[in-house]
Amino acid sequence: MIPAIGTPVEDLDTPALIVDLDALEHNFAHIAELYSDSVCNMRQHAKNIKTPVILQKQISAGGTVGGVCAAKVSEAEVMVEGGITDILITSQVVTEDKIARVCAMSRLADVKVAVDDERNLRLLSALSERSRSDVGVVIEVNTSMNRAGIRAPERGIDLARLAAELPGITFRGVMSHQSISGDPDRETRFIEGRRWIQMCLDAKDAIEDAGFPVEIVSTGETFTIDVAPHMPEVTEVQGGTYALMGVNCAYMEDFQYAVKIISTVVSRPDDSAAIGDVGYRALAAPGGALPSVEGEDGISVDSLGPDHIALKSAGPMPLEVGDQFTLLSAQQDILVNRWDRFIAVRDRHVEAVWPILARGCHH
Amino acid sequence: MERPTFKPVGTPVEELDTPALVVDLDALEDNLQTARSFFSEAKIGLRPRLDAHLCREIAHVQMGDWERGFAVSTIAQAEAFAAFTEIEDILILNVAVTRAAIARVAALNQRVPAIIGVNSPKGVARLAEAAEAHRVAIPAAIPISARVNSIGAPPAAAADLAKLIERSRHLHFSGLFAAPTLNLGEDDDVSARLAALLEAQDIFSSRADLPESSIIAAGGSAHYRELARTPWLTEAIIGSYALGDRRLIERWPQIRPAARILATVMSEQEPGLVWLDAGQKATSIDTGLPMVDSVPGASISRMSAEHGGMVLEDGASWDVRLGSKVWLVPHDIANTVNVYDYIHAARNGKLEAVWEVAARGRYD
Repeated sequence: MIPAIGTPVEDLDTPALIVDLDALEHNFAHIAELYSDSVCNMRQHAKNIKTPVILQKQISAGGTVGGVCAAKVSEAEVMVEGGITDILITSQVVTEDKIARVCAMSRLADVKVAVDDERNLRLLSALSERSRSDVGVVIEVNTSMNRAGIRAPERGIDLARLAAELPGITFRGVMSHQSISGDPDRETRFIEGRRWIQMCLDAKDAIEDAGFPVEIVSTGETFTIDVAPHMPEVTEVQGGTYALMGVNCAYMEDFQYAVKIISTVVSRPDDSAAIGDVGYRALAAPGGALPSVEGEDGISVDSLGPDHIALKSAGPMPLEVGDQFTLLSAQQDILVNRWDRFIAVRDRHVEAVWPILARGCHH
Repeated sequence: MERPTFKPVGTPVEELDTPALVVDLDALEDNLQTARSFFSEAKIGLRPRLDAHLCREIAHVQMGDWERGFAVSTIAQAEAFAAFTEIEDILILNVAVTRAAIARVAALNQRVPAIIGVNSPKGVARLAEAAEAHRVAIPAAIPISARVNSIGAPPAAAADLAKLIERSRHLHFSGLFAAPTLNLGEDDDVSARLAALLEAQDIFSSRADLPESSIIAAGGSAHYRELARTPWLTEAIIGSYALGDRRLIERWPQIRPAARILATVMSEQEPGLVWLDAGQKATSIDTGLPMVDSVPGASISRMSAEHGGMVLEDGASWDVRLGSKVWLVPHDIANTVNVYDYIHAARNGKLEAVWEVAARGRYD
């Protein structure tokens, strides 16, 4: 049920997905300060938030390029309809249906799309030219993921050359995405982050040496938020999780938990166990990643079912049937994709209810 | 909301915008018939779990002579299906604790008989209060479990709860159901669940002062054999048999993968490895990875949020390239339909209808 403005958190129907506005604003203010004197700015990934009003709040807060990333074409469309006019689509768009949508969008916004293949460039060019559009292309460089992205800088030169020759498309730059596992310390983050981002910069240098100017170097993510500004050729960071935060990025201590799940205890099977009314269908637990209980020392998550969570306590369980408890996400962007709305909360009262407009936008 | 490029009825399914959740109607109908035949032979009723597809149109074709009402996992899902006037009853495999939730159960019962689980004396008292306030009779069932990681009451507690329910003028005792244990990633121990339910059932059949159970139910499509070998059950509560999924078809070979995800190869940078446009957001992987259904020798190696990595086994070869279409069978269909807004219903490879996943995201 959608709560009225002013409703106390205690009175929410549960489970509920809330966003703590003070924490969100803290995280955005931190980015504005971090990037205030930097060539590098934030290009927040819409895939983590999927809600134009929140992304607009960040653009207003400062420290950004004035636009966002989107993982998919339909997600980008929601952002453009939400008034955002600078979009980088970070996946390859290879079907004619979707390329047509990108071309249409390019007349409403500055749209750039990731590429890693000549055939894809030729199709983009043909359809864009046919519709008299101009679509920006950014070459994806593989660094640590072995996913999409060119495997060698020379391939970048070939793609940039072809993009420069073909009509309907404009070569704009390079991008990469990295990941780091576990709970890295600051030194590890800096060493690994620099090494991988440098691979993207190597491709950029090779392309420029071949005579093709590179306007955009879009790289970085939550764990390199403070690494990238020390690499002066990086123009933007594709930050994701830090904005709403998840326990998998707990090592990024400058950020506060903004997204939380409120659940209610529905059963107390014994003295140390409690069952809550939310399970993996709503929480998302890819790879068995369990959420954490906030602010309740000694209570941990024992297991998950589709619609329930089992909590256990070291001593007697302090939570009774009907008590609420708060969970922190283990996988923030998958979590958000399972919900239709954020209940925005300040001082434990509802301040706004925001539809997650790009939820389910995997096209 | 999901925003595909919609295609006209009659479109070959491989031309659908991807990722697309496609249901083959012939396979769906075969699966419904397979389960009906199996359980009617065993003389055990069938109660389809609608949260395995969350779709009103599928519920509609699922209702037959052998089906005894429906089951869902949340009150909000029951609300989404309540407009079905032909429903005999709907069993909510859950308990209602907060005043708001209990009031919704009472209100729901003014439209359709909605059976709710109750596992504590306090729960019975609150439910009775709400029933009186709404002037409805609420049917209540007791979830049973001997394990602590479950919403079930222990078998020994069921008798007192049933008496409390019957003593209330506004509640009606429906029976007992085996509560699933919460065990993400582990195999569900059906024999332990059935043993706990039998223990409770034995108490009920040995005591004349306890009300009769019209429902004695346990569920899990994967346990179809065990359920059918349990003649004292009145009904089997099963869900994923309708659409099938990777988990189930490995256990129940007659069930076909009626629901599959169509994906497109969007990056091809290394021999024997391609990346699909379907990742964790397009097929929930909380319980496991999907299976590749259309490319012999290929499997999903890993999935990130937006990408699915497909690899070729050593020695095999494939005709897969940028733009190729690939069919995936989700590991857990209930958890996958929940991330879609539309089901593309197809027959003989052609689009026949687009159905809304009307009860998706209804967790409360």
